[in-house]
Amino acid sequence: MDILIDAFPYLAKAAFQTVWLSVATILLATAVGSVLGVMSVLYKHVFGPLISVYVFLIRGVPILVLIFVAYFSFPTFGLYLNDYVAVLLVLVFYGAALISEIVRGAILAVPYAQTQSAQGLGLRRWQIMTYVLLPQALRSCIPPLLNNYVHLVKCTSFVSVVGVWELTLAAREVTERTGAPFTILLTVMLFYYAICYPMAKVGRRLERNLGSSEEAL
Amino acid sequence: MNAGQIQEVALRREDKSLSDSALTRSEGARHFIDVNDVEKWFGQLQVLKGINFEVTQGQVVALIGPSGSGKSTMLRCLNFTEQYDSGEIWIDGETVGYRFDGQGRRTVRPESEIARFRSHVGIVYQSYNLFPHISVLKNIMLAPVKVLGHSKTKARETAMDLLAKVGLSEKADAFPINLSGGQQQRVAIARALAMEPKIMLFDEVTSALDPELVGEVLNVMRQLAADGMTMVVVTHEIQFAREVADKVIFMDHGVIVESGVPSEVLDNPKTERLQSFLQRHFDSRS
Repeated sequence: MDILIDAFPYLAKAAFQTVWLSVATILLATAVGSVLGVMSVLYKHVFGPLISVYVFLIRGVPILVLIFVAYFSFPTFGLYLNDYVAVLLVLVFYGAALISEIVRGAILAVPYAQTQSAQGLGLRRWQIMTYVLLPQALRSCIPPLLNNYVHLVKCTSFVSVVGVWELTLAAREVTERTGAPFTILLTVMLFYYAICYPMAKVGRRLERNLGSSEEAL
Repeated sequence: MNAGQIQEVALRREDKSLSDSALTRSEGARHFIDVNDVEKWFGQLQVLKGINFEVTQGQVVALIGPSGSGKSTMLRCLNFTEQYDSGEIWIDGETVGYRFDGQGRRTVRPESEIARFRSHVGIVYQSYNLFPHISVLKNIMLAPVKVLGHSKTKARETAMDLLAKVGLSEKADAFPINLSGGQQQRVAIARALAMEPKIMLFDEVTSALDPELVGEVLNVMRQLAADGMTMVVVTHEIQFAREVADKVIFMDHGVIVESGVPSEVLDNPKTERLQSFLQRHFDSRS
């Protein structure tokens, strides 16, 4: 117990680091992913195949390997990034691929009749996207987005393997110093749980609410 | 704004588009709408086999025929939501969807031109397709504000006038989901009219409605026809066609079998195909 009391401030600080990394990842990945998702629908022939290849690659490679690539191979190309920036890039790169698929799917799920009647009114392609498709797609993409955010938070623990300090790395340091892995790791699990559970809960609730109003349509 | 004014605005806009269009003109455009030898294929299946007809300004033309006859496809070609494979369609002095170089070659017009063209041609579909995420009023205001660049105040006024015209003033702030099918369809008509179109296209607009709701939608269309709107109406309502249309076109298997004034076509059908179509129609109604 004394061990835990001594280590707690250190772990809390590390947890804050994880939250910071997660928030940055989620915001940037959402921005990039949404743009890619919209582009792959609007400019199907130009960007569609490119984005598909990108998503396919990301899905087919473990995120750990991507982190190694960024961390070890960027310097060999003469690219010396701050450790945090390097891993953040990978996390955003990875998250954007997942999110672009969600956004693309949500847009394509809006019935084609909506596009047709908007065209009939003389709206331009990007206007149809902005005023007709995206607002409708938003409803259906919020629940899967939140699920992915939870996944991305957990993915931030991978960056510990290249020595980027956050909750998981701090946990390893403390367990090595104190020799009390169970207590410390249990605490770390509780920290992750405290971050992820509310998000999962909100996601679940939105899924239910949006789902029911969807049926009413 | 009453319908007379709408028509007036439509006429003014037409003058404008005549003067500022640097688009090709040719002998092809003799009437307000000219459909010349239009053919269309869906893969191996030819759905339009050389369609020819014309519509003069203010005319109401009814397209009738059995399912699969190509009448809806023909209508959608008129606002280029369906492409056609050969032939030419002229509306108000412009070719629809394509530019023709006079030597048999054609190129698809840029998206901006097609969108501008469509803003002059109102279309109402069988399944209303109102935008579910915004109110009735905003459904009607969206295109005038975003496409015509009207101020919100002006667009709101126009929208309220049109809602009054289709008898739905009290539903301005309702969402589409809370309206009956007939009410949604009337909003869809108001939404199309808000663009001050030169032509209105109706694609089986009463087919999805419960029988008791059909009348309210037909009444709005009747009013519109009386106000002098040029209309092309795909319909299964033979009675309505007889009463309102200036010309009836009967299509079957991608060709026009008979066309002419309603009294001639509907009361004295010359071809066996139209006779049996009308027979079946009236049998099912009685």
